[in-house]
Amino acid sequence: MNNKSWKFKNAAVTALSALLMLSLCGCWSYQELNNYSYVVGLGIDKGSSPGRFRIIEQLAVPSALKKGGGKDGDGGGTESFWNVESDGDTVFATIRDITRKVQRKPFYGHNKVLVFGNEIAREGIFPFIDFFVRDSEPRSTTWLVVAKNKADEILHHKPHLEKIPADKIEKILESHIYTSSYHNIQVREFVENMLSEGQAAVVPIIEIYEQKIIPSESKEEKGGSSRGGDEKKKPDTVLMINNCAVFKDYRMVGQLDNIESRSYSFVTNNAKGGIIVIDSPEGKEKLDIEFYGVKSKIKPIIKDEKPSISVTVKIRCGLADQQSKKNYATPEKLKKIGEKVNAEVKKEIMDCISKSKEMKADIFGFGNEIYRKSPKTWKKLKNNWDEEYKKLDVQVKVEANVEGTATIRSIAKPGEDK
Amino acid sequence: MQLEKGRFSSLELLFLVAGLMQGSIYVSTYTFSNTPRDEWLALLISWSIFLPFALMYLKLSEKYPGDSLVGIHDKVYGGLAGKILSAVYCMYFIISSAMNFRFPSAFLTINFMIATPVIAFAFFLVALCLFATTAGGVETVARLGIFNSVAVVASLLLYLVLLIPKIELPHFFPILDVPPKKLLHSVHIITSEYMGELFVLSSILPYVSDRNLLRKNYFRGISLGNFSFLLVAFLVTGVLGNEAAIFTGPLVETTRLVEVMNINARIEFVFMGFLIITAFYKCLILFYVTLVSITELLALRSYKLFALPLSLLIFSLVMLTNENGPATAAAGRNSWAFVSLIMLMIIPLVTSFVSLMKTAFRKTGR
Repeated sequence: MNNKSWKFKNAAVTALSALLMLSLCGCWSYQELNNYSYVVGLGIDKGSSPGRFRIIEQLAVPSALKKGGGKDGDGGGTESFWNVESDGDTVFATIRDITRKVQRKPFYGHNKVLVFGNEIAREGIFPFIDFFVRDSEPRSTTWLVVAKNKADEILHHKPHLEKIPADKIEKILESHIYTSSYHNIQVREFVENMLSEGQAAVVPIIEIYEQKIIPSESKEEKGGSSRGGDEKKKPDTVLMINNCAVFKDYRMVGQLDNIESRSYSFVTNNAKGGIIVIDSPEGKEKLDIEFYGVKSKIKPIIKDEKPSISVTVKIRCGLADQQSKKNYATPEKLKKIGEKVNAEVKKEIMDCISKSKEMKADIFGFGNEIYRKSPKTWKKLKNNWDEEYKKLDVQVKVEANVEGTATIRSIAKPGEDK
Repeated sequence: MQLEKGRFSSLELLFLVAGLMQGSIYVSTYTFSNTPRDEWLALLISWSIFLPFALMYLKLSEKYPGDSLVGIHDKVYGGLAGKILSAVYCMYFIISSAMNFRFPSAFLTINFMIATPVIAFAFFLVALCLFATTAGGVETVARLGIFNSVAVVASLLLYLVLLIPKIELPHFFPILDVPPKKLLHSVHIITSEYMGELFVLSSILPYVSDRNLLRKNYFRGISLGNFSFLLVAFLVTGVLGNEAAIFTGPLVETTRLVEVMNINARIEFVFMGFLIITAFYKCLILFYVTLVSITELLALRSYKLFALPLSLLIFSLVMLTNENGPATAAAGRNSWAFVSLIMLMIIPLVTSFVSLMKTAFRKTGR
């Protein structure tokens, strides 16, 4: 071996040793998988005594998951999740306190959802969020939701189709692309909003919805809160996202209903898909317009140091369902439908903006846009932004393009309008 | 005086230069707290400020070919003054090495292996440097550069692709709405610490074999190093925006946000591996330079004699250096930036000036 290749070999050995160093040191802090329990959901409610709060940890039970636990009649018998709670004054201490009840150290790296009880949300979640951003174990990609009542009851609700409530919540949140009627938000985005001067955040609210279905009559909808015996006569319940909470300075200051939440999604470029119900051009029946592509642009305009905002929302949509017997598959009628969509969406967005102005909560980040366009103007406005926001002139322009009528051209009824 | 028979190519110098700069990527937290949105701007300003200094380092080396830093000081300032100045530099190199050995070790224990003491990693790092220098020497140190640079750039590009859905261009705006004091502070840190450290290569430059391409590849190396920093700035600002200012390790936090179809959670471990490699490479360069400088100052025949004592000295200092993260960060952000400015920019400037004056006087015969 010549000298050059020997030196090259030395370099390669050193590089390899440096890589190996990482794995060898790992023996020092090694942890066995079976010494950990895995937190998949975490709830925070007010505690039993004033000033204290309660943390509910939802732990996955891997053995039950493997056997199909958590479902009546499909084997297993053991629940696929285990909720453990503890009261305390600070988050980390309370979380650690749980290890007195759980023999395996909880691991937070796989936590999917963080549920705040309504009371806590209204009082302010600042004291509770720090741990989830600061600590290296929890991930800031965890979803954030607010319970309509208590986080405790949400995490205890046995879900349909899924085995773990946290899984179900995560899947509902991911389904926002089909309605856009709520905005799903991760811890990171929430903190980013809170760090931006004057900006508010929107967090989905989760509740237990009572259905009229009696579980014993429905094979599909087994589970829920109702189980065997007399309980079978109770109405079935499901977890549902309904409305969104508005947070300002880490405190819940109000709510947006589902239509307002959808308008929020339109303006903030978060609407992925959904259905807009409009009156038919004749005004008698309803039409379902499915939108599948939304692009919005917020443009701040500064004139004589006075700011205003121009919002343009472009919607790609199509006729998906109609009650009318008319045939709308003509360019003129589709144009008319488009105009109806424009008017409807514009009205909804304006209503949402008015609602946010009432709450003095800049959920759209208009202040941030003004700052980006003209930091000088923003510096004059920021100290009194709540009032300035109420006075802010916002112009909304909606451009809907109705692209088609799905798989049929005209209504499937003979002798009607063609 | 040359302690090495080994030589390396200017192409390897390119990766050596880039590697030394890339080794500072993991401490970029110092500047993100000042300029979370305008980091790229601070980098470009620093780059333009540093380029004349880089040229000055090269000129010095070209003027005294075959001489390391200690040799240059001897020739410029004369025997005693040169030796005193070289001794001061040796102390600076030792402390700088100790700090740099501590960073990656502390980084690992804070983020991943909480129960492992810092000294465990530091021990492995020092031992590895001892092996690389005594078994290989300058050629091994230089040749490692290509492994390092390829790994760093490839991993940064990979993360760029994975994080594209999370990059938001509005995070970069408004441009230049940063207090001038903070921008200046960032520029100061980047210029004197991230870039100024290239001055330590003065002790390695004599071993470049093809000197005709030295200058070209030296500047290419600086460009590659700066490109890596710009990639980091783009990633961190694009993903975190203003939030970058609150994290102790914004780059780590950025990589933690990678989501690949809900499967590859914790993919940041891959990146952390490369980050540690590049930090190690910087430690290795500093260790080697410290070793040859002390050897030359003490007029020893072989630097291998002093390798073990130096390892023990650095290891001891790692244990004594700043006991907590904020102290390390505060030192890096404030006091060390000034020390580096003096040692890596002002004194070399004075040295160049004295050298020029000496030449001028010699020409005029005075």
